[in-house]
Amino acid sequence: MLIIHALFELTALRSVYRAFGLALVIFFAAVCWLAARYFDQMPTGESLAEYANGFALGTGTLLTLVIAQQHPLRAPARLFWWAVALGFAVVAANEVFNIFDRAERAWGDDDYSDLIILCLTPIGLYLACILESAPRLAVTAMKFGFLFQCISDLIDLCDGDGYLYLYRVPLIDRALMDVVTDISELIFIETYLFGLGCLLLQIVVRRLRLQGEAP
Amino acid sequence: MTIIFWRRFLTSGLCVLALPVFLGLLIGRLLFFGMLRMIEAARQAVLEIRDLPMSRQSQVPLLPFWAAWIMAIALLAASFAGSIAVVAQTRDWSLQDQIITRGAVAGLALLAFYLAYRLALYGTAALQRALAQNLALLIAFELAELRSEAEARALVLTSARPSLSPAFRLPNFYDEREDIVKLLGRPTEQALERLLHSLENFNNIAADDLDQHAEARLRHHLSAVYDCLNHAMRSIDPFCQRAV
Repeated sequence: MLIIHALFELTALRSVYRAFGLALVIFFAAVCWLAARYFDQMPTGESLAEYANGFALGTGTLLTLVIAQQHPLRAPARLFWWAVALGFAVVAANEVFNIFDRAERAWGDDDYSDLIILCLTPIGLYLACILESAPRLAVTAMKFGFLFQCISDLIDLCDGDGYLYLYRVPLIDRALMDVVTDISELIFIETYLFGLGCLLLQIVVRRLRLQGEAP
Repeated sequence: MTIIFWRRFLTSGLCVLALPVFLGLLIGRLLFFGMLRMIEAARQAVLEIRDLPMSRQSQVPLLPFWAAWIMAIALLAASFAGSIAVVAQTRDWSLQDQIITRGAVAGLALLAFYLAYRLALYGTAALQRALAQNLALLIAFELAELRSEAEARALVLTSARPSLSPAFRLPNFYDEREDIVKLLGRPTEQALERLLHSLENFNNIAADDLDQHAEARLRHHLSAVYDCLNHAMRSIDPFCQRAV
């Protein structure tokens, strides 16, 4: 049996990725509770869920940098992961400090950047799976992540905010719609994080085997 | 307040789902089968968690891995929280003060991120070493037991009653060769495979009726067991020496 396919049979690794998944679920529940608890105390246009998204994206930056470090210097895979880490960092900074909005240009609207990210994501996911020979669990997590991202972007188009929106949901005020959008974003970001965690575990074991086979 | 939020949250969720755009998605093939697969995956995960053998899991020294990663995440969270708090507090300050304060915080946040990155790298390397070391130590214990058994047999063979030499028991790693290849590499697995063959050869001779040449053949095979044992110990030793 190939090690790539047998990776998740290792008991110790199973305990690691299950604990990681559980931590992500607990984090999501905590963010939902905190967003509800402090809903009326946050200024308009800001929510705790938005900060949580920034933090989750920052964790994604950390994970991708660690994955990049597992590859030789100047290898295409390492350059790819550096580019992904840079993308994560920019989006994290934008999520927390609204950098694009501060540019006060039409292109700075979040709806545009979300659409560009949505178009780039499948390319990045495909390259990641090809470069790392991703295990089944990571591929599944990424597929679900992309599905959640599509749904989240559709919700974003209905928040009545920005230049791009299709429909404004009646009966819902702007602040609540923002929180709903941010929480839906957190779902797909966490799903991608889980996929990245699984990829990292696979790379760890693969490198170990290569070291073991070295003379 | 919380109840009001959830009521409004649910209402908003229902309104969003009732939109024509979402209705199309909901009845679409992709989402339908996606939900089915999610339910199946969740069910499978619950079943697997119930079957998890905790005794084997606890053998792996994963503490450095968890400690390093938790500290890295905590540093990252602290840098985020600090940056957000400072930006919020300095909103009404003069531009010059804002630039100085926020610049200093940005520098500190970058330093914290770098430390978190180093910690994450350390944690990842610790996991790698822990996985290999765990298996290597188990095998090393087995090999030490085999060595003491071989020494006992050597003593018996030098005595006047060689027929008392019983067969070797086969070590526990006999069934774990796939894990050995995964974690310790093919050369180690081959060294252990040779050891297993030599033990089986010795056992076959010991099981036969002992004639006048049997003692010489047992000695010969016992020395082969020693050679294989030494070779296996040399192969496993680098993995046991790695500090976690």
